[in-house]
Amino acid sequence: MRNAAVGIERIKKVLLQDKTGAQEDVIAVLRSDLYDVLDSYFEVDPQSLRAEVAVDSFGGYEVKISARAFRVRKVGHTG
Amino acid sequence: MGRCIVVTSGKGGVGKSTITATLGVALAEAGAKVALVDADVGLNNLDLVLGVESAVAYDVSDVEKGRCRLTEALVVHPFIENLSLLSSRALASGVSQRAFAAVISALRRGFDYILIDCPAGIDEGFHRAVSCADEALIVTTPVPASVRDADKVSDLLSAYRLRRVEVIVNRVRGDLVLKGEVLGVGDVGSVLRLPVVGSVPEDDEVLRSATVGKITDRESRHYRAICLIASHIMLGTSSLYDCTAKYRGILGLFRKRAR
Repeated sequence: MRNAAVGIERIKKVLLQDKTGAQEDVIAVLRSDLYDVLDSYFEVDPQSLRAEVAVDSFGGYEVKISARAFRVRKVGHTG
Repeated sequence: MGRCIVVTSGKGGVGKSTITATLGVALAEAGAKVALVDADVGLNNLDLVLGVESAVAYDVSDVEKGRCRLTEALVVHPFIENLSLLSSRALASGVSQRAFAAVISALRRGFDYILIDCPAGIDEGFHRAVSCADEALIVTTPVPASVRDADKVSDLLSAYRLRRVEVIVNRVRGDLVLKGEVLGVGDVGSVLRLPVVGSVPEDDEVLRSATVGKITDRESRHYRAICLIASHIMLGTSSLYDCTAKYRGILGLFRKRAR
């Protein structure tokens, strides 16, 4: 691999680390909010809730959310 | 009202002051009335780059304190009459954000372009300079450390109401780009996801000129590359200087081997 290609990969990697590192506070708040929302519909295993943010090749953010629930809550119908 | 463009970089030593000075010269020689403002308060060098250090009597803090009028603090270049410099020798704490903004506002009324030479780093001085600007030029070199800092600056600039944020890639070694040994201008632009409006070659002429305090030779590759940036600013053109051209063809083969 040529030096230029190595350099590009290095920069992309470090920028990704910089950007996702800066999001850690946001992710903690996001996880908390997600848990509150999901908990209205499912009995969520709190340890299983994952929220990951990565930077894609276009400079946007890719947000991956996953969670495991023990059971579905009964949601009341109105009207 | 003049356009105010901040020239910033994040990382120091990428050639920001030299680019600011030469760009000011190129705009002025194209007929525009240009004010260069050294916002690197306390670590100013723009006067030295322009070779007018002995003519600086007052600076931006003198204007703030009322010790002189703005017109008295402006140093008119001895050979380019529509190019002026406002220096800054005071300590960083000596110039308030409000006073700096007032000075820029006054300059807008008398000049077509105000180029602010922003201090390196992302501290108070950076914000003082950027908050007065309409547009920003981020100067970087094709090395990872300076591209990384340029990216951080780009993120910070998104918090300001700037009409344009564009990139100048300085110190491009065309011979090494052709060999694939260093990043090309396009690589830098794609990583930063910002438009590149300047590609400026590494040029020994810059070092020679800086040593004796004279403006870069007008025939130099550095100056010709900067003229294309000036054309972009004034006319909206989008030509980039080809830093690799010198190293292509039969003659280029010899030049590559000679380096």
